[in-house]
Amino acid sequence: MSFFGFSSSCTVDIQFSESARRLVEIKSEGTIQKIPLFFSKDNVKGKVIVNIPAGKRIEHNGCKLELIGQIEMFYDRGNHYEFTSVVKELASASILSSSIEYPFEFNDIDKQYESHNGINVRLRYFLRFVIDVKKALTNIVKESDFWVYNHQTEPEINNSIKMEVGIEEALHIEFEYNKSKYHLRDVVIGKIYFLLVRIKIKHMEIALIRRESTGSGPNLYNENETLTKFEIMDGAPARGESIPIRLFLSGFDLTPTYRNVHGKFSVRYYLNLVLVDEDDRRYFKQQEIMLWRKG
Amino acid sequence: MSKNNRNSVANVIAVEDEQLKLLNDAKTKVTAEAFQMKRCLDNNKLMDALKHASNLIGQLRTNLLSPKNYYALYISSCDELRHLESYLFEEKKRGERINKLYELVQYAGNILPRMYLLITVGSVYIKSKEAPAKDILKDLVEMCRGVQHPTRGLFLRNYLSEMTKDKLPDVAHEIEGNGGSVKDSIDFILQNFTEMNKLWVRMQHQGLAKDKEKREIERQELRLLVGKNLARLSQLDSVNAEQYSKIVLPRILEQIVNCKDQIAQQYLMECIIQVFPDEFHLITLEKILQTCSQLVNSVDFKIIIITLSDRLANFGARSPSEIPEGDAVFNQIFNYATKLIEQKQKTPNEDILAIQVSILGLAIRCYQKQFNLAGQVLGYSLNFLNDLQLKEASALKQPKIIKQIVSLLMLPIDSYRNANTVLNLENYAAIMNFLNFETKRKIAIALLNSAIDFRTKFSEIEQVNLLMNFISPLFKDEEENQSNNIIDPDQIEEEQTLLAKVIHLYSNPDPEILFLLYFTTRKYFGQSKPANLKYILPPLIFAVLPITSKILQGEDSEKKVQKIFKFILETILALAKNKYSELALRLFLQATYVANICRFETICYEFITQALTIYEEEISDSKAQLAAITLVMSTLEKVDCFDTENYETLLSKCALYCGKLLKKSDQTRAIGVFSHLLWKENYRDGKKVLDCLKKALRIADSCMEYGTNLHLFVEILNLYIFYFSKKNETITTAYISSLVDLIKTNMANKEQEHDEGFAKFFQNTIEHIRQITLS
Repeated sequence: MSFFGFSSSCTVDIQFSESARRLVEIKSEGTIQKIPLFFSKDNVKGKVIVNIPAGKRIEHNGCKLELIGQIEMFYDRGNHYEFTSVVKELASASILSSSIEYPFEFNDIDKQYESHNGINVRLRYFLRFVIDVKKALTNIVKESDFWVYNHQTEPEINNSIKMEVGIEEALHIEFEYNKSKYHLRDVVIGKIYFLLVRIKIKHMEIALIRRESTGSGPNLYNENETLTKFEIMDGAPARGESIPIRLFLSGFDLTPTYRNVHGKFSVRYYLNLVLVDEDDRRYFKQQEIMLWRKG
Repeated sequence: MSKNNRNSVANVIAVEDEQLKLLNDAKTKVTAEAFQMKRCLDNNKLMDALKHASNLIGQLRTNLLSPKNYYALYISSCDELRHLESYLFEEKKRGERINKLYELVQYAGNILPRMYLLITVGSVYIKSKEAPAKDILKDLVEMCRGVQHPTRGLFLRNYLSEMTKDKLPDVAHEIEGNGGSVKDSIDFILQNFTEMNKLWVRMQHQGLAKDKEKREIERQELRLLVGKNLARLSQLDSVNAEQYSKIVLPRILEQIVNCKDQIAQQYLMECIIQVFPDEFHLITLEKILQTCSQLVNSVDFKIIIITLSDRLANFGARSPSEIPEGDAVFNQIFNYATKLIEQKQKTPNEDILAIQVSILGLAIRCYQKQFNLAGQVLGYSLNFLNDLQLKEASALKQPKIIKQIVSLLMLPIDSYRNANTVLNLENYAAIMNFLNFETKRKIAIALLNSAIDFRTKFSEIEQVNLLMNFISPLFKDEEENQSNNIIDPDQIEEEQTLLAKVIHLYSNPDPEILFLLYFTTRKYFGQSKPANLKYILPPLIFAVLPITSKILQGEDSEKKVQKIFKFILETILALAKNKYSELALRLFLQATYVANICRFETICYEFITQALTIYEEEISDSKAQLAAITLVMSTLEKVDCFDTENYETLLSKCALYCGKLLKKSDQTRAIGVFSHLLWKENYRDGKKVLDCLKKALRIADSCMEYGTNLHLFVEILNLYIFYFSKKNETITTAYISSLVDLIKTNMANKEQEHDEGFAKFFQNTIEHIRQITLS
């Protein structure tokens, strides 16, 4: 790692303890990173290793380690919102002339939000190690990301979604999803009951959509992402038919629903029922479902 | 051909070419994907293999193929999927868990590949017993609902049916027990059936009205797919009659009635009758018949009733003990059929009759002893025909109607194999009246043939009356036919021979009644055309003659026998009157012979007089004369009841006729025969015999022709020898040796001319003389 010409002065490595800790694969900008995973109540422990090449010495005013949780808006680069920041002093002013290790431990820090890599927004947790080098323009800084998941308890109320929709004199359907809240490895079970069919339906599909909303007011951005299009019916049903739905969620890269993350963004999920007629007209009904992470 | 037509033909060809191209393209893709799939399977790359399998099935998503071509594509796709199935099965054996795969394939985005894969995996899943078969079956059949396109849905569900057919819980099946019971299998098949039928019916309502005909043809092509489900149900071993009648059939019928579709109703009703066992039909008869009245009007209920009735008829014939006692089965079918006929006003006449034919078959074959049932059917038909004659007489001339009437009449003949039973059927004979003369004759012939083949005995006068009335078209012309009766003479001979044969089927231990049978018959035959008398009267006479001696054994028989001889006399006279002289003459001689046995001298004398009268008046051909007079004399030789006066009168008549024969040789021979009349038990006159032989010799000598002349000499020589050996003392050796010398001299004179046969004849005669004189 190089820092403005001081590259050779030292290398810093942040190691999390519990080496068997689960890693999550995070896709960002086309590469896949493997990042250690923490749950919200986990303590963050480890050590910082500073390697000083032989003959080198670093005079500093102190070393500190920060645990930071921050939200980054991509359209507003440089403007980060830190919602969590805890600092630990690891060393007071002194001179480093040989390699040294600093163990650290952040206990009882509530990591209330889950990490998120969205289209317009990123929520990240990381550790930042800083050596305040004397008589230098810049400090030696080393950051290391970790990922946070937040187990949720099973919702107490979980009603099915049942709804009758239609176009007068043309199409009348009743659909039912067995729950309104699904965990990430859940299965959406449902059925569609055709009460009236006067249009020539070609097929019917169900789409799983993720909507990420960022900002507010004039700067509100909504990004809709279709995660899957799942055909559930081929051909035209007659009146009285009921068509089953079964959609396994575990195959998709899903997050829980984030209703309001620090007033900055939200991520919601929708099931969109789409009927396509022979002239390729689409009739649809979108219905939000809540996703949650099962412990 | 109009231009338009030509265009449309061109269109059809173009469409077919296009179809073929589409099919080949799709098949090529299937083969390519299948190749990739198999390669992946070989390398144990299951995920990739599934992807290729999914692509392969993707070809079946096409909208463009006709059902026939879609079927071809379906078959080749299924063949390929079998590789996947056997791979999965191997995996299962190696201990892989299939439930994971069962979930995995459900991620496929398109429903058709998803369902085909799910069914393929599901079938292995059932075998793995990781989950109860019934649950998997239920899940599969339920998930298939997603495919609502008729053709694609039908084939998908057919795939489901095929893949699960050997995995249905049933008694004695490994999957029974925890996997489910036969009840689950029934539910599964019935649900699949119901859904398939709905899809099949829905095809009817798609597309343009002008393509209706084409669509119906396409639907007929697909009907087997739907019907297979019913066959599948019938193959479940443990479905018993009760389950069938309480669970299976009501649900099938419900679907049939509710679908309100003619093609489906027609086909499925027939299908039920064909695939389920007869024992079940007996129990559920009411339900099936009831359903018939609930079908849409255009359904041809005739076929359904006939199929059912024919099946039960065959069943009853095969295993009569299975048919319930009484007539419940018959009554149900008969009553429902007639009710339906009334209900559906427009049933064609021939169909109504065809139904009756079928039910008649049922009545005959299932109820061998309840003739009243067959009579009931015939009665219905008779009423119907009577009505038809009043309303629409011309209809009775239609071949399709005639065909059914013939069937009504032929069926009892062919089935009962007893002409009496047939003739005794109520309303049977009356139906014959609706046929034209020619057809009546055919039926009559069939009846006679049956009576002859199966040796039906006619022993009551009533039976004979019925028989004669029924077959009267064979001997009696009908008014309508008199003008145009050109019938092949060979055919006539054949028919009349049948009549002659049937006479010999009469039998009764009481000879008087037996005679009455013939007497009755004679009255009917009296109506016969003269031309036929020669065939039918002689057998009658020969049948009656032996009765005389039987009656004589009884008491107070003389009058009775006289009556019989009178009958014989009149019958033969009828022949004589119609110029069958030679025949009558011979019959009189036969009668003479029989009367002689009975010792009825007067009658005997009457008969032979009749014979001689015919000879005198009617027989003029010289050959016929010789034959006739020879027969008369032969008969006379055997008759011994005459007193001498009568006998001598007859002798002198005979001598006269012999002398009047045209040819000398005939005279010689006749006189030779005559000589025997002078040398018999009760009349013996050696002198007259000698005179007779001398006369013969004299006439023979006057015979100019050399060969004949010599031959006659030898014949007379033989007579001499005969009487000599019979101790006629007037015949001495001197006569014999001088006659031998005469012959030898004549032979020596014209040695070169006599033939070998004659030489042998003479030589043998000489040899004979030697033996007699030696002894």
